[in-house]
Amino acid sequence: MKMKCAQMTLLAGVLLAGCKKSGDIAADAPVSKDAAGHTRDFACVEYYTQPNPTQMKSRLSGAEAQPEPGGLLVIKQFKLETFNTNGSPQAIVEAPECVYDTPNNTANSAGHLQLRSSDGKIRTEGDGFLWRQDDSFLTISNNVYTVIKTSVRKPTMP
Amino acid sequence: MKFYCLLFLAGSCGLLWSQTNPPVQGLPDQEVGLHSDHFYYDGRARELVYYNNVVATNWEGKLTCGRLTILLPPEGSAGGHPSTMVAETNVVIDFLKNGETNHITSDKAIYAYSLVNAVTNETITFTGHAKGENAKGWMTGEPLVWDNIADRFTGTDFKTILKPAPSSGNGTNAGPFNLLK
Repeated sequence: MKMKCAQMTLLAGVLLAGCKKSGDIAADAPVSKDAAGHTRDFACVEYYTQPNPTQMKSRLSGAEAQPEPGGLLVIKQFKLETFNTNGSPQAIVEAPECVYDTPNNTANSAGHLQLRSSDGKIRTEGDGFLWRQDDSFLTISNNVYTVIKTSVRKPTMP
Repeated sequence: MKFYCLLFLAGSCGLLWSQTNPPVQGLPDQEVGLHSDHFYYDGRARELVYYNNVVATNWEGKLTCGRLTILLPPEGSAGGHPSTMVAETNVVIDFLKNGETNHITSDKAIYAYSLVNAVTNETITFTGHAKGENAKGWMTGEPLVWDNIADRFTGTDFKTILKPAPSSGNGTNAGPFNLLK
């Protein structure tokens, strides 16, 4: 669930000012805006730095983003996919809606959050969350449920 | 020890931040479920905390406690094995073995794992009114320590009490959990 500051800043920039490549981060599809200024079907990609500058590190996407006063972005169908340096998928984070606070680098929602490993072995979900990007702190407020799929190990009970 | 898996697997929700163990060939997947009211992940401290009404269940039994803390290993460390897990506040572990219910309670249970010079140490230390009980008897210790490598319980002020066998003449000296070797 790590979102780099630059990534969200870029996202904000993409949404507010248009989509342009910036360093190792890029929007991977043209951004469309409706008359109300809502950005639809956007995606931003962050790449690893050296020595893997061509490998995607994360891909953040959403069905809609709406800028709000105070540097807030209301993102619908939020989805963050992370990848290993070899390109294999790592984890996926999804929320129907979240508010990204650009000045404070936080994301929150009263709604549902789901995280899952790409191999499907681990899944965590809950209702209501706060992600503080600066100190990498995630709180899930209610109804937390984690499922881990694991191979049966030989019991070691004597 | 069955509840080892519960505590460890609860801990293995080192989750999306640590690697999952490679699957064991030929063995089916089983699920571990972990419920709690609240949760937080502190990326700087590298700890995962589940709190209020924590319930972990797997194919072996159930662990309940008020708070479960999992310390993740340093980033990049081999295996991604959590080094410490702590279950606190009304720790209760129930598991079945050979059709028999086993029940362990304590105020706190600390799982510790280390690998030093190719020697693995793996223990669970139960403190605060630690007690294990089943149909054959019960045991206490302060603390009560399960050594998962040596496969046995040890403890300070360690006591084992056997209940009278229902039939006479065929009793054994085995501990209530077959733990004393």
